Amino acid sequence: MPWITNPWTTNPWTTNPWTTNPWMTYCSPIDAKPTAGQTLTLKLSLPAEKTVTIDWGDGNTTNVIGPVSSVDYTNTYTDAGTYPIRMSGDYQDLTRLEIKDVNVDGTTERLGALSGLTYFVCSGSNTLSGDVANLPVGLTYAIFNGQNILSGDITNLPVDLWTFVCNGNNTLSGDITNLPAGLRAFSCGGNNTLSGDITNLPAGLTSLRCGGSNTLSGDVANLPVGLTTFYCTGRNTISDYTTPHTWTTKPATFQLKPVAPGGLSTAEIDQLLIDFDDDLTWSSGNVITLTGTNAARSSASDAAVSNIVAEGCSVTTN
Amino acid sequence: MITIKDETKSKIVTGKKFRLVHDTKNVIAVIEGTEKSTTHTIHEVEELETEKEVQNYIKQKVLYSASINDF
Repeated sequence: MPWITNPWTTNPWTTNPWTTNPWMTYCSPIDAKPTAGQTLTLKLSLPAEKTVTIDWGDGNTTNVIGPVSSVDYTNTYTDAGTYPIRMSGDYQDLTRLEIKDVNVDGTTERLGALSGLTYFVCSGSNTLSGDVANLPVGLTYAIFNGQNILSGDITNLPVDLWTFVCNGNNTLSGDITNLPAGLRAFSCGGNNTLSGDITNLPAGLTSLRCGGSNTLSGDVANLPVGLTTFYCTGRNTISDYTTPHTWTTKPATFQLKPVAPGGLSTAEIDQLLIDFDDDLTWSSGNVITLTGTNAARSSASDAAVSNIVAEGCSVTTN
Repeated sequence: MITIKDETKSKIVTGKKFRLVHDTKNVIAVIEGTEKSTTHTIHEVEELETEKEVQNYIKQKVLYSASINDF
């Protein structure tokens, strides 16, 4: 029976049995993996009248007494190693967790114990793994940097998620129709196998970056109107560009690099570039890449490419 | 073999290696070139053998990279 109430959190005058009894209430969401002398920073938010004790795994502890909003708590490790971070008390009321300056390891199941979390960021070369179905259900903002290995069906992403970034060797799957309806940014590296018609992407999506062996299909003209970043590789069959189409929002990063047979035809590539030139003003740092199995462009788009490049955008085509 | 042609306003790059587009201070894009692809740009561009060399170049030249453009 691992989940019994820790009396120390309700009666401060008792001896804290948690330090001697491993069966008291706590969670261990991550393992810190510092090098010697590194300082781990946890940025936390906790409501009023809530208390969380952080056991840093090296014998040091820190009490967090709410209300706190985006406050940094740090611990410097003398020696390199792997240190399980344990949290006791009202850890289920933590709403924000940012991990900085030290790489961490862990699983979505362990993170899921922080059930009140809405905001999660881990910077660095982290190695978090597990099924996205185990992420805290109320998560709205999640960024995993590093060589992470998340898996599972995107149907099981937290329903209120509006930003999801996960770098690494992830293996997410599923139909993009089932992405959270309010999703605004989705970025997932690795060997993902997403499928579906891009017509069914969340209407408010502004950024889509997906690496892997995806099999997205559909018409470029049906991308969400507010999309500013579109990066998609894999065995996609996005093979149409229906005109006339007016671009009202600039996709400042637009990279379509299918490896499967299909892709856009020469006429579609030319028309897309002409429309990009006619409808939008480009600037330094913008990127358009239409390579892979897309057809080569022709001289029909020479003027458009010249204009777009003169405005600062880099254009790569076959 | 990469070919860089300077035209009036832009550089045309053809080749099949990694192309690092930058403005001497900021990374604009990292493009994995294919043999038949062509990049048109007004920015500086380097062709490098591997993505690791790209990363090393960015560190060596202390270029600011706000995001990685390729996974």
